[in-house]
Amino acid sequence: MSIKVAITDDHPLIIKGVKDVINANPQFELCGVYSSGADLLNGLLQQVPDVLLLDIQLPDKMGNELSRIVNKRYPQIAILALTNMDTIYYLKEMLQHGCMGYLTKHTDEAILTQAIMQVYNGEQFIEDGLKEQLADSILQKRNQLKSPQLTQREKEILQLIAREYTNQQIADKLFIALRTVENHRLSISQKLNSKNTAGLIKTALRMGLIEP
Amino acid sequence: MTSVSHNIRMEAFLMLLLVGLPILSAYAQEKSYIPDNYELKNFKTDTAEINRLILQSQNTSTDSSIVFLQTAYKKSILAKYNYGAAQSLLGLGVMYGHSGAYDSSLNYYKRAYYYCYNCPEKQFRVLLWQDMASSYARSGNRNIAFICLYKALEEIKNNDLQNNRTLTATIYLNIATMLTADGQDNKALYYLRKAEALVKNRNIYLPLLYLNMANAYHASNIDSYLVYSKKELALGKKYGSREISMLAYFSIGDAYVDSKIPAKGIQYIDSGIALVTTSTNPVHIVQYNARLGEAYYQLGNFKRAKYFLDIAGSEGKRLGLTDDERFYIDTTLAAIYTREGNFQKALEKQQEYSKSHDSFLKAQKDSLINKLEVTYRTAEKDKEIASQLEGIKHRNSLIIVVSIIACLLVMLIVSMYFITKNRKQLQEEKILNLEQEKKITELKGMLQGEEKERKRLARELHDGIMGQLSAVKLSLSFLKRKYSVLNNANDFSEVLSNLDEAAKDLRNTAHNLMPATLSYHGLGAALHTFCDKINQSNELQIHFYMYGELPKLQSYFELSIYRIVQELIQNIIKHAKATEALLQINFFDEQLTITIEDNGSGFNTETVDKAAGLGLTNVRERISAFHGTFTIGRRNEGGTAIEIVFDTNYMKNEESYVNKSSNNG
Repeated sequence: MSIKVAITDDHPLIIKGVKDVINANPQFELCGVYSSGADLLNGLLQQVPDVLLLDIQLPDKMGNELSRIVNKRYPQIAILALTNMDTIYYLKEMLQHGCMGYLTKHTDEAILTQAIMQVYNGEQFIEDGLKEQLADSILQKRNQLKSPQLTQREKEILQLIAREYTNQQIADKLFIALRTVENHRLSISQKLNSKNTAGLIKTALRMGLIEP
Repeated sequence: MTSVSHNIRMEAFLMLLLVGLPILSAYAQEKSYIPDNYELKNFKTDTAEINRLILQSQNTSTDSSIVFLQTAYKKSILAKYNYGAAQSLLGLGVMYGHSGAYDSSLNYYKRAYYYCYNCPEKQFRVLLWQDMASSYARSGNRNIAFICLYKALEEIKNNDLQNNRTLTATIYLNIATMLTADGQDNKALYYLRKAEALVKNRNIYLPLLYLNMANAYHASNIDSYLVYSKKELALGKKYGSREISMLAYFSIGDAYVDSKIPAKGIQYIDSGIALVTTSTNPVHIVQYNARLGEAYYQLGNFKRAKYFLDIAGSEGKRLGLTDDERFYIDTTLAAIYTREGNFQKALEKQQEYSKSHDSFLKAQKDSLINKLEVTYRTAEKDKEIASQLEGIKHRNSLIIVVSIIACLLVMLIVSMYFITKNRKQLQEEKILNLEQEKKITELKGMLQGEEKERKRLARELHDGIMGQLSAVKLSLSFLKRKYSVLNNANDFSEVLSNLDEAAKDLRNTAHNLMPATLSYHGLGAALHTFCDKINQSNELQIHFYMYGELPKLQSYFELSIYRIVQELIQNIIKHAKATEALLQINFFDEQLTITIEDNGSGFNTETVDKAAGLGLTNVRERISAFHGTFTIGRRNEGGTAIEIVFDTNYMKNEESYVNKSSNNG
C-alpha cells in the first residue's frame, strides 16, 4: 500500500521538483497535480489523496480557505502546507484551518519525505525554524505580561498621575494633546493590569516605577 | 513552629492558616496562659482532664486529635467549662480546616463564638477571628477573611492585648500574607515591618518574616527576593525548621529559574523537595513542579519539563488554582508543545490561558471604562454647577437679575469677539488645510504608484524567482539521493549552501520591497513580524507592544508607517550601538501613537539629522504630510525616545481585514 500524494501549486518548477521526489520513493504515489483551487476541488471529486501538498498563494483562492473547505469535505486527507511564507501568522492560520503540517518550499528532499510520512501517520509537522519562532512568541508574550517595560512618556505621565494631576493638567504640562494623554493612560493601565487610578498607583509603587 | 511556617508562604495561592493550635501550644508553655485558678478549683477533676485531653490532641495525628477534642468539648459542656469548650471547638475548627472541610470548620468556629466571648481568656476572641479568617481564605472567601483579620486586630485593641507580641505579630503576618497574595506588596511590607518591630527579639519569628519579605519583593525585585530567601534559609537551618528551609529552597530555586539560571534553580528546588513531608501544603507541590518544568524547558529537556508541568497542572486543577499559576504552567506547556510540533495541543493551552489574559477584550473593556469615567466626571461637574446655581437662587433676587443681565452683556460682547476671531481663524485654517490636503494628495499619488510597482516586483521575486530557486534546491537534493557519489562531494554541498544563501538574500529583498504580512494581515502583524525578524538576527532585541484595536487604514498610509518604523529601527541598528529597543503602537479614540526607544548611546540634538542622514529628514517629511507630529528626545536612562502621533480620522478604510480575507480566500 503506497501513500497517495497530490500537489496544488501554480509553479511548474516546484511541481516538477516535488514530482521527482515522490516518484523516486516507492512508498509514495502521485495521484494528482493541480494548479489552482478550483482545479483541486474538481480533482478531488475523482480521486482523493492521503496527503495533499498545498500552496498558500494560489491564483484563485487563498490556501487557508481551501484548507478549511478540503478539511470539511474530506477529513481523511492530511494537508501539508508547502509555501514561500515563513511567518508564524500564516503558520497559525493554516493550522487553525485544518492543516496537519507546514513546510516552506525552501526545503530538501529528505525533509519533504519526512513531512509527508509524518502527516500521513497523523502526526503534526512544523518546520524547525518556525517552531522555535512560535515558542519564542508565546514566552515573549508571557514575559511582557509579567514585567512590562514602560516608555519614557508613560513614565512621565505616571509620575504626574501619582502627583494627582488631572489628564488635562498632564496634557498642559507635557505640551501634548489631551487625547494623547488618554492614549498613553490606556497602555499604562494595560501594562500594569489595573482598572482605575488607585490600582495603577498601587501597582506602580509595588514595581518601583514611582517614588512613594 | 513547623505547622505555623507551612501556612505562611503564599504566592499565588492563599493558605494563611497560622491558626489555633500553634498558639495554643504556646499557651501551654507560657505561665500566663494557664487558666485562672478559680476555675480549676471549681471543676477540679473535670477541667484537669479536659486540659490534658487538649494537650494530648496537639501531639498526635489529625484523626485522633479530632477524637480527643470532641471528648474534651463534651466534657467541657457538662462541666460548664467555657475555657475548655472554646479551646476544643477552636481546635476542631483548625483540624477540619486543615483537611479541607471548610464548612465543618466554620461551623465549629460559629459554635465557638459563644464560649470565646464568655470566657475569661480574652485572647480566644482574637484567635477565633484569626482562625475563621484562615478557613475563609482557604475556601476562597478572601474578602470575608480580610474582615475577620481586621476584626481580630480590633479585638486586640479592645482587650489591650498589644503586649502579647506573638499574637499581634501573627495577625500582622497573616494580613501581610493576604496582601502579598493580592499583589499589594507595598502594603504587605508595611505590616511586615510592624510585625518585625514586635518580634525583634523572638528569633523564632524572624524566618517567617524573611519569608514574607521575600514574597513581598517577589514581583518587583528579584535580587531582594533572593537575598531575603537566602536569609530565610540560613535561619531555617539555624533553628532546624524543616518547613522554613524547604520554602526557602523553593524561593531561591524560583529566583534562579526566573533569572534564567535553570541548573542552579533545579539544584535548590531538589534540595527543597528532599524536605517535603506528608503535611506539606499541596500548593507548594504545584509550585515547585511548575518551576521545575520551566527550568527543564530552559535547559531544553522538554520531556522532563512536560512531566513536571503535567503534575503541576493536574494537581493544580484538583486544588482550584489561581489564574496566575495556571497561566504560568500553560504558557510553558504551550511553548513546549510548539517546539515539539504538537500545535493542536499548544493552541489548546494557549486558548486556556488567553481566556484570562485576552488583551483584545481587555482593551475594549478598558476603553469602555475610560469612557464611562469621562461620562461620570462630566455628570459630576454638571451636578456641581447645578448645586452652585441652587445656592445662588436663595440669595437676593435683585442681585441675580442684575448679575444675569451683566453676564448676558459680557457673554454677548465676548461671543461677538470670538465669532469674528473665529471666522478669521477658520479661514486661515482652511487655507492651511487645503495646502496640507494638496501635499497629502501628491504624496498619496506618489506612494500609490510606488506601492503598486513595489508590490508587483515583490510578488515576482517572491513567487517567481524564489519559487524557481526552491525548485532547483529540491531537485539538487533529489540528485544527491539519486547519485550516491554526490553524498561525499564537498563542492556539491557547497553549491547547495550557496543556493540557500541566495534564497535568503532574495527573500529579504522581496520582503523589504513589500512585506506580504502587511497586505494580508495589516500593520500590527507586519510590525510584529518585522520585530521578530530583527530579534532573530540578534542585532537588536526589540520589545513589541500593541494596545487598542487598530482598524484597517488606507494601505498607502500603512505602508508609510511601516517604512517609517523600518527606517527608524535601521537607524538604531546602524548608529545607536543599542542592545535593546522598544516599539509600541497605541490606538485609542482615532489617535495612533508610535513610540520607539532604544538604550543606545543617544545623540546630540544638533547632529541628529547629520548622523542619521537623509533617512530622518525623509521620515519627518512623511509624518508631517500626514498631519503627524514627530518628537525625538533623550531617555532618562540613556538612549533615544521617539514619539510619533497621527490622527487617523481621514486615513480610514471601509474595508476590514475580516472582509478582505473572506473575499480573497
